[in-house]
Amino acid sequence: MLLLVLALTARPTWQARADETKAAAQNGPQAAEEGEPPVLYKLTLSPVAEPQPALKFRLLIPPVDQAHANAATYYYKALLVEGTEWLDRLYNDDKVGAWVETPNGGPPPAEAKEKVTPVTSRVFQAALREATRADSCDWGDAGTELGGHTPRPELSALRKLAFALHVLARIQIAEHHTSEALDTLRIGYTLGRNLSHGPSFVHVSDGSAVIGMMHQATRDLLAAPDSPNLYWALTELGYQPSEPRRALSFDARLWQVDHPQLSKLDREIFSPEEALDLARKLYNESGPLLGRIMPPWDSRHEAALLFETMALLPEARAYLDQHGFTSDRIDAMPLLQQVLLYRWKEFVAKQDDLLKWTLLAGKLSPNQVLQAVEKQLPTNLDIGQPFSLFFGASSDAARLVVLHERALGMLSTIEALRMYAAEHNAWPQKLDDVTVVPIPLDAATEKPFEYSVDGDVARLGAPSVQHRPEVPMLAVQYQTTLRRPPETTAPRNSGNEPE
Amino acid sequence: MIRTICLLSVACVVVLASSVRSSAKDSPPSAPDAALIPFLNDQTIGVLSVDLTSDSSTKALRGVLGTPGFFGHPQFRQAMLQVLTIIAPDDDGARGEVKSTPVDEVKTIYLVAVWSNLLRLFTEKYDHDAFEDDRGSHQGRDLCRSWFLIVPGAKRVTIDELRLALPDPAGIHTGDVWACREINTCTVIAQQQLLDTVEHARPIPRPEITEALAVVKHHPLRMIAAAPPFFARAAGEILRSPAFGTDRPLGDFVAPIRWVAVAADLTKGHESMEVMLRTADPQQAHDVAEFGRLVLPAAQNWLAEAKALGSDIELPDFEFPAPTVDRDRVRWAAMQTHP
Repeated sequence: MLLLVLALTARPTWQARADETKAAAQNGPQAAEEGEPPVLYKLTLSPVAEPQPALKFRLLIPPVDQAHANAATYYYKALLVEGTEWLDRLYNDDKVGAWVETPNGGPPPAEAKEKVTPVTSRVFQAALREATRADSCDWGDAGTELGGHTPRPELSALRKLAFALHVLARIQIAEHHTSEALDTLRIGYTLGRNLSHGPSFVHVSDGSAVIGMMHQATRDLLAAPDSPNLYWALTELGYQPSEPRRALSFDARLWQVDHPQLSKLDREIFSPEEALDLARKLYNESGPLLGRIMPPWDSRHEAALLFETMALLPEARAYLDQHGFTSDRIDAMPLLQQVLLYRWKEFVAKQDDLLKWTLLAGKLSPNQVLQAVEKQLPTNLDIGQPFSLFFGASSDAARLVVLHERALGMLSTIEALRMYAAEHNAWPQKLDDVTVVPIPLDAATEKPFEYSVDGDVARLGAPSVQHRPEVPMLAVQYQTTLRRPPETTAPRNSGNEPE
Repeated sequence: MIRTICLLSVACVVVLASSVRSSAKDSPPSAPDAALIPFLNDQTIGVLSVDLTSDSSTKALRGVLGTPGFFGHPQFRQAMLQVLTIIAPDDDGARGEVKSTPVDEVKTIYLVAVWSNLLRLFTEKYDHDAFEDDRGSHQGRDLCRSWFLIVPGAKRVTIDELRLALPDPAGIHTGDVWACREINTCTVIAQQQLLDTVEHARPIPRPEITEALAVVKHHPLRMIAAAPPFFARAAGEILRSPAFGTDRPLGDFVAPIRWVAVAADLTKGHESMEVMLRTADPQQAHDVAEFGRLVLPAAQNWLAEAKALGSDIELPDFEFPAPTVDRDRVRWAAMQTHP
C-alpha cells in the first residue's frame, strides 16, 4: 500500500516530476513561473543565406555516413578514459556555470578552458566521435529486470558530459572556431537524441535536458558574426528528436517487475499475510521511487492501512462486482486484497487510456497527442492510487515532444529570417513574406509564431500555453537585432563559410 | 482537555472501533439523536455531539476550533466557528459581523466523521504549522472531507445566512467549497463534494452508534466511535503487529470492540469524564481492560502532551484510574485531579 505511502505525498509525484521535467525541457535561461514575463532571448544576428550546398552543415551524422555500432559502448568508454572527477569539478564550478548560462558572456574564463581540457583529448574525442557515428544506441539498461530500482549512475555522468560539451562549444564559438563548435554540437545533439530514445523516462527526460543545453549553445552560435545558416541542419534535428514510446512501454511495467505478486492479484486468493506482505513491500520499496527514505513499517502504518482499506472497501467491492468477480470470490479474498486489486485494475485501465494516444504519434500532430493524453489524465487524483505514480509520464513525454518541436521551430524560423535578410537586407514585415523556405508552425498552438518587426529589430514569440495549470508551457520570445556590418550595407549572400 | 477529547476520539476510531452489530438494548435515542439516524450509514465512523445548552461545552468547542492545528485545515475551523457563531452566540452575544436573531431551537449539533484519508493524521509526523499553511493543504482537504456538521431542527437558521458565513470559495486554496443544505429537516454543512454524497447516501442502521449515544446521553459532550461492517475482519487481518506490552497482535484486542464512547461534562463544579466501550463478550471485555491497564501510562503521557498543545483552553485536569469491567463493557471513569 503505497496506499499509504503515496497517499501521504502531499502532491502526486507525477505532478512534481512533471514540474521538474518542465524546468528541464523549457531550457530557458530563467525558470519563469506562470504569470511571469516570457523567457526572452536577445540576439544580434547577421543576415546569412542558405549554405551551398544546402546540406553543407549537419547537426546529425547522415545515415549514409553512420557506422554499424552501438553508441552507448563509446559513451561508456569515453567516461572511462578520463574518469568522472573532472566532470564533477567542471560541473560544480560556479564561475564556469555563470559564464555558460550568460548569453554572449564574453571571453571564456580561464577556469573553463582549463577544466574542459579532458574532453578535447584525442582519445576522448575519438570515443565521442565514434558514438556520434554509431547507427544505434543500446544503453544496456537493466530496467526490465530491476524495475524502479534500476541504478543509473551513468545518466548523471552523461548529463555532466553534456555540460562539458556545452562549455566547450561556447569556448569554440567565443574564439570563432565555428567548425569545431559545429562538431561539438553534433556530438551533444546526438547524445541528447540517443538519451531521448532511451528505455526509461529518466533517459528521455535527461535527453531533453541535454538537447536544451545544445539549443543554448546553438543560439550563441547563431548570434556569432561568422555563423553559417543552420536552417536545414535544424530541420534535420526535428525528425523524431524524442521518441518516448519505448520508455513509456517499459515504465508501464515497472510495478509488475518490482512486485510480481500484483499480476496474481486477480488470479489467486491471497492469505491475509500475503496481502499484508504485498502492502508492506509496496510501502518499503516505494522510497526510491519517491526519492525519499521511508520510515520503518510499524503498527501506525498498519492502523493507517486499516483506515484506507475501510474507506475504499465499499467502492472496491462494487467495482469488482461490476468487473466479473463473483460475490463468493470477492468474499474469499482478504479485504486488503480486494482493495489492492480494485486500485490495481483501475490503474491498469487508466494507464492504457493514457498510453494508447501516444501510439498515434506521427498520425496526429504532437499537440493533438498531448491534448488527447492530457484529457485522459484523471481529475480525481485518487484513481489508481498508489500505483498512479507514473500516470503523468505519458503526458510529460508528449509535452516534451511538443516543446522540442517548438524550440526547434523557433530556431528554424530565425534561420529563415536570416535567409530573408540576406536577400532583402532587412527583416520581413511578416512571416508570410518568407518564401524561400517553409516557416514551421508553433507546435504548441499549431498556429504561426507571433511576429512583429520594428526597423532592425524583429520579435518572434510563442505564447504561454496552459493545458494543465501545474505545468504551463512558458511563453518564449526572441528579440533579434539585425547586424549591419559597418563597412557595407549590402546583404551577405554566401558569407557563411566557417573558418 | 478538549483537545484531548478530540485527539482521543480520533484515536478511538482507530483503536477501538468495531463492526459487530449491537442489539441496542439501552434506552432509545433522544429526539435530537433521532435526527442523526438518517445520516448514518456504513461509512460513518464517529460522531461528536455537543449540547449547545451547556455553555461550557459550547465554549470548549469554540476554544478547540480557535486553536490552530485542531481539526486540521484553517478553512474548516473557520467554517465551523462561523456556524457556531450563528447558532450559538457566545456569552456576550457577540456574533462577529453576522447579524441574526439567536436560534434557540438548536439544542444539539453533531459533527459526523466518515472514512477518508484520515490515515494521514496517524502516519505523518504531526506538524502543527503544516496544517495552517499550504503544506498542509492536502491533509487539511482530506480532513475537511471527513467531517460534516448536522444542525437538527435548524429550519429557523436561515440557510442563506449560514451560506454567507461560510468562507469565500475564491479564497480557499484547497479548491474546496463549503456549502450548506437542508437535508432531512436538518441543516447540513460540509465540503461541497461530501455534501452531495451525504445528501444521496442511503441510510443504513447503525444501532451500535445509537446505543453508545444513549449510554452517555446525559453528557453535554459525547464522542462516539463505531465502525461499519467488515471492520472487525479488517482489524484482524491487518493489525498484525504486537500490541503494546503484549505478544498478541493488536487486532486481537481491536476486533472484538463494538463501540467506544467518550463523554464529558465540563460545567464548573460538575466536571466529569468517562470512556466506555463494549465488546462482543465478557471475556473479551476482560482482555481489552487488561490491555487498557498496560497502555494507560502511555495514554496518560500522550494526553498530557495533547493538552499542552491546547494550553490556552481553560479546562480541568482528569486522571484515569484502571478500567472496570461490567459484563461486556469496560469503563474508565476519570477523576478530576485539580478541582
